[in-house]
This record gives sequence, structure tokens and C-alpha cells, in this order.
Amino acid sequence: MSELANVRIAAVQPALRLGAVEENLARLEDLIRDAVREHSPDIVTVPEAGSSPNVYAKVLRGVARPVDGAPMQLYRRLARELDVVVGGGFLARRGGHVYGTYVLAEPDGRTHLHDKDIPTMWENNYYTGGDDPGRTTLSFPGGPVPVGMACGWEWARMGTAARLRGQVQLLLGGMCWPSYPVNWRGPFGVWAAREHALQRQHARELPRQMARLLGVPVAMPSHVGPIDFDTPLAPGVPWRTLMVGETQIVERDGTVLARLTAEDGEGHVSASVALAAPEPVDPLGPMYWIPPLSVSTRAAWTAMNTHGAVKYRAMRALRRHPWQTWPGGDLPDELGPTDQAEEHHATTP
Amino acid sequence: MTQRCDVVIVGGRLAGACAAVHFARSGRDVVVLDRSKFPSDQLSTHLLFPAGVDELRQMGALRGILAAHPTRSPWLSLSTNRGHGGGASLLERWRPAGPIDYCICVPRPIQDLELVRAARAAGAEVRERNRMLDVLWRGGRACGVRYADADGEVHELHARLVIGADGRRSTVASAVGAFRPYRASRNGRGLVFRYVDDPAYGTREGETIHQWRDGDSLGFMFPSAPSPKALLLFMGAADEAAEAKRDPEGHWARKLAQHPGMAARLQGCTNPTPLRCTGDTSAYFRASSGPGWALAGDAGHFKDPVIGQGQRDALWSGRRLAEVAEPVLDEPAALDLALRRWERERDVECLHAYHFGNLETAVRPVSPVLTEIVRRTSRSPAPDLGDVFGRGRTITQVLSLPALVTGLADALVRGTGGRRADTARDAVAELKIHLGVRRELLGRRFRSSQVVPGSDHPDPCPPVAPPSRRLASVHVQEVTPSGTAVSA
Repeated sequence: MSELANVRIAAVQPALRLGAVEENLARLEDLIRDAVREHSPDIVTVPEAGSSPNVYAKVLRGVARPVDGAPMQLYRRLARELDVVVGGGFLARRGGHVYGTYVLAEPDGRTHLHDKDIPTMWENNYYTGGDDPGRTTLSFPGGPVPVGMACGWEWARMGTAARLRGQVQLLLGGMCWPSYPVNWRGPFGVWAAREHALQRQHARELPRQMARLLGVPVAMPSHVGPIDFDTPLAPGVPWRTLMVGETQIVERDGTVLARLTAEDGEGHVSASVALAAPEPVDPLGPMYWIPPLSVSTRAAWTAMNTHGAVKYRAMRALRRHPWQTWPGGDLPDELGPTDQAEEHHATTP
Repeated sequence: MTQRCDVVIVGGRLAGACAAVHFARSGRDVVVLDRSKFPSDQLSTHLLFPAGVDELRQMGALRGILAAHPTRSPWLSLSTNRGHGGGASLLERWRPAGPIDYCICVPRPIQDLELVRAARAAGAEVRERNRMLDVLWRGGRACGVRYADADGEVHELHARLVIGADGRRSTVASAVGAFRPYRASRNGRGLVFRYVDDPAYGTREGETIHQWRDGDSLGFMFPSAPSPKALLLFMGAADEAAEAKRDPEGHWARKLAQHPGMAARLQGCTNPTPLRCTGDTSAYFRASSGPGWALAGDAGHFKDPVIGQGQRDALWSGRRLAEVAEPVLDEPAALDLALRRWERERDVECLHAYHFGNLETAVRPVSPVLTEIVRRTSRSPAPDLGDVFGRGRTITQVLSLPALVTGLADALVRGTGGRRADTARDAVAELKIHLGVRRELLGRRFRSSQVVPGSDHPDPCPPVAPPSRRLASVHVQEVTPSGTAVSA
């Protein structure tokens, strides 16, 4: 790709309903079509977990879909029909596990998959981590462009920056970030309110921090809207909060080109970014997290990750995950161009 | 105005009509679109073994088909290398399927017309000369079709489930991106056939399905309809189809000389029709289910016609699809999962027959082991070897390991097939293939793309995809929880 080639990116900020996969996919289709109509982008992306917000709720056990199921079909068919690159995530059954998969689908049928490396907190109950590098190549008319993919708190870890730094010219992917509860009262309420403010601050700053660490433009579409779920390790305690929003498209130097906040609600924004060799602005640090997460959040991360992973493995061993009753199958991470009549479908090699 | 139904089925022949009947009987609103006007012919082996006839009975089409007076054939005659020395033959009855203990072989114009009538009688709406143009999508799921009616006018029909039952060159398979098989196997044999009038009609000989295996060629005679018609087929090497096109009668005479038993049986047959032939019969599996869509019959899976299983499997797949999908038709997630399970059930049902077809399509001399198995089996007229055709049992059950070993021992003792060392070597090679087939059948893997050496043949030539169309530019917007509407 020539130096400083420009691509226009549209990022969609959806307000999706917990567990309502088919309804959410239909909503995403409307939003993607609307974004393409309004912005005429080269790339349009929606957040990770496009089939349903990832929170702690029993209904999450039923939101995974086959890797070649309706979410993948949606992204790939829209890419082909609208002649744009479409990016979006969903919980995908791939072989013997479920992963938090992000899809980049190109108009000619090329499709690139990335599985989130570490599920965040309660997400560990529902899927496991992948091990791909989160790097691929998109084919633009001007030539191939190395692109990174990151989901959720992959955006927030220095390890992700180290893995992608110098390897990509653009970072895509998405975020699903529910905050601390806003319905708790008393001392817990005071504590949760403080954490909630911190979470919103981290979400606001994260895209530009990652852009400067990598020295490339980034587009981070996020979920938005209120959401209710259960509190992990505290049965019966409701967790009412909101998705923090902060859909952003940021230039390589950290300039925020387009942004949607939680207050903006559902919508889409776009910006043109220049693609060129990466020029990192900030140095990689020795810390695990890019933002200075609070002690509470770090403790919750450790406790909930352990709780979720143990439960996932135990249920899998007992064959209690609903998706374990399905016929399996998988697709490779990289799918080549295809004719419309000959798409890729999951098989067992 | 937007049209709506519960299920739209593209293709109104075996799988399509059968699915339509069973959906409609459950009270579902079913529309079948077919580009043909019935009666309409179709290249086919025509043969239905008892399990296939029983499917016709269950869907309510058998009475109409029997009204065409097809010969009911309760007997199987199988000969190997008779007239060439060292051969064997058997005569046995078919194992009953439900109340049916006979085969029928009905020309497709007669049969398919009755299928369509049965679908209509069950309450399905069958629209003839209606051509599907494209599949409509909403939220990553198929939600209907765009089609042209008999006058060429284009309509949209929205449905909870889109079924492609439109054959090997399925337009639905193409529209859902499933046209390219994930697994395919080259055919080795061509199909050359014609009808004659059989003077043995009404006798036991005239009510027997004949199979002659001589050298590397197969000959068949199926009593047909209306009586005294009989269908004669040769399945030699695939390139014989081209030879039959160039010199039909010369080819026919040469094949009869190759099958002296068949030539003797055809004495007195009259009124031969022109030869028809095809060599385009590669077997395949396509991904046959996805969000809101399914491919039934040949649209999803095809196996070499040498074993005559296609019609039965098409009917079975249509019926099972309806039985599995109907209860969850109103729940999209449950429906998609049910369709996937149906696909796996179909694979389990058909995989052994796929391998049987692959083994049969290989052009090689009759195995001495098979000859000896035939000889042993011929001691009783009870159903046995015919089960592999009639689907009473699978090939691994009929040609069990003890049966193969015993057959080999008999062949070695008798000296069947010439040099004993060659017989033993060939038998070991054959045994390896059978073990590979058994291993795969036990695995029950979903959409297995792994080949079984010796059974799956390389360089398949599956059907060529029809030209691509651009995807529907119509955006379907949800307006009610139960339905959809179209906006430009």
C-alpha cells in the first residue's frame, strides 16, 4: 500500500439487548447499512460480542453460535453486498470450544478471524481464550495493509501493544465494557460510583493510548446503553449499570477524529485515516495494564477470571454447555476469496 | 404486496414434495416453487427399494403411483460372473420396510406428478413454472426468496425456513454459498439405460430386480411402469457413456455380449426406447444447513447412482427435515440448531451408502470374496445381501468382517478368481478399505472432510455452479415480532 493512503472508517455504537441474538443481529444490520449509506466508508466495524452484550447472566449460555452461523453470515454477506470491509464479533463455537471471535470480512469473501486472548472476568464462564496473534492483512485497491484486531480488554493490555507494535498499520476490533453497578446503595454504592467514574475515564482514554503506543490509527466501536445482570459470586445481587460507550476513531498521534460517548447513545461515526508505516509515539511500559486500573478492578479481574474459568472447564467436562450438544466443525482463521456460490462452511478436517 | 408463508421449498420432486407433505400435515403454511410443469421427466435410476416405497406410503403418494400399475418386485436376483465360469447367483426376497416388501421403478413423469399431487392434497401450495432467483436475508439468516412466476413477474416470498430441494445444480445451494461440496468423490461408472416391454411380466421372473455383475461391468433390469415396461441399465466405465452416445446400438450389443445372463433374460423383449446416458455422477456432500435454510435431497448430498439409493434418501431427508424443523419453526435459534442436527442425522444415515456407492463405482472385476459371499447367501431365499440395497442394514453390517473373512477363505479353497496369491492380496487391500470406512462411521464427525483411501476417489467433478448474482439489494425490515416487511 502506498505511503499515507487514506481509508474511511465507520464505527457503529449499538445498544443491544441481552441474549436476544437474532434481534441484535437484525439491529446491527440496520446500523451497518445506515452507516454505509451515510459515510460511504471503506471499512465499517461493530463491537465485539455483536450477538449479545457479554455480562454475567444465565442467558449468556445460549448466545454462542456456530462459527459459520448467523453472525458470520451477516458480516460476510453485508461485506459482499455493500462492497466494504465489515468487522464484528460474536461468541463462536469453533471445534471443541467457544471463543470471543472477531471477524473482518472483505467484499471478495476473504475473511479473517481473531479469538480474544483472555476473556474478561465473568466472560470466562462462557468462552475460552484464543492463541492467534490478532494480525492479518486486508486487501485494498492500493495494496495489502497489515491490520491488527483486538477485542475488549485486549485493548487495555500492554502485551497487546507489544504483540502488534511495528506489525500493523491499523488497529480494528471492538469493545464491550459494562461498568460498575450504579444501583448499589450505602458504602458499596459510594465505592461503586467511584469505580464507575474510573471505568468511564479509562474507556475514554484507552483508544488514544493504544494509538500512540502502536503509532497507527485505531477504530474502537463500543456497546452503549443500560444493562442489568447478576453479580458474580453473589447470587441474587442485581448489577445494574451501563455500557460505557466511547466509540472512537483515533489518528496515529492520538488525535480523536470521531467519538460517540455513552450520552450520545446508539449511532455511528466515521473518519478518514492515513495508513502508513507505524510510528509509535509512546514507549511500551513494563506494566500489565495500559490504564492504571484500581486495586478493586485488579482483584475482581483475578477472582472472576478464576471463578469463570473453573466453571467453564467443569461444565465442559460434564458436557453441560448447551453448545456441546451441537454438531461441531470449525473454520481456519484465514479464509481466502470465494465466489458467492461457494462460501466457506465449518467442517471437521 | 409481500407474500408470507411458514416454509418455502424450492423444488417439488422427491425431497421437496415429501418435506412439503409433512410440514403441511402439521398445519404449516407451505409454498413449493418448481421451475417445471408436471408431468416432467428427470434423469434417474427410478428405482425405489422397500424403504423408499414406504416413504411414498407415509407421504400419501403411493396409492396414486400404484394406480399407474407399476410392477411390484419382491425378489432380488444377483449373479456374479455367470457364464464366465466360477460365478455364483442368488435369489432372495427384500426385507420389508413397514408393510412394504417390494420395489417399484416408476418413470419420473408419472412418479413426480403423484408427488406433487400428494403435496397439494396435504395442503401445500405448489406453484409450477416458478423460478427462484435469489434468497432474501435478514440479520444473517435466510428469510425468504425472490422468484419469477410463470409470467416472468418477480415476487418476494418471506418464510421462516427456506428449503432447497432443487437437485444437483441447486440454485438455493448457490444462493446460500454452499454450492461447492466440502467432500466429493469421482464416479467411475457411466449410466446407460433404455426401456423395453418385458414378456415375462406377471411371472416371478418378471417381478424380480435383476443384477448381473460380469467382469468389471454391471447390468440391471428393473420391472417398471406401466407394465410390461422394464428399465434396463448398464453401468460400465464412465467413458462408456460417451461411447453410447456415439454408437448407441453398437454399444448395447457389446454390453449384452459382456453380460450373457442378461442377454438371455432379455430374449423376447420388444419395443426398446432410445438409449439415454450420463457420466456426470460424482458423489458429494454439501454443507446442508445454515441460519434459516436447509438443502434436502440431491441439493445437499448425492451419491453414485450405481447403488440406486438417491430417491429413497431424498424422500427420507425431506420427511426428517420436516419432522425435526416443524416443532421449532417459530424459534430462530432453536430452528438453526435443529437444522444442523438434521444435517448430521442425514450424514449418519447416508455416509455408509456414500461409501457403498464409492466402492461400487470403482471399475474393477468382481471380487472373488463377493462371489463366495453370494454363493453362501444363496442357500436361503430370506433377505440378506439385498439389505445393503434395501437399507435393511448398512454395508458394514451386511459385509461384516466375519463374512469377508469367510468369503476369502471360501475363495482360497475353491480357487475362485484365479491365482490364490492375487486373491489374498486383493482381499487384504479391500479389507483395509472396509476398515477405513468402519473407522469413519464410528467417528460420527460433523461435515467430515477427511477422505477414506480406496473409497473416496480423487479428482471429483461435482456440478459446476451457476453464474453468481449480486446479493439481494433489498433491505428487509422487521415490523412485527412474527413477520417482516420490505423497504427499498
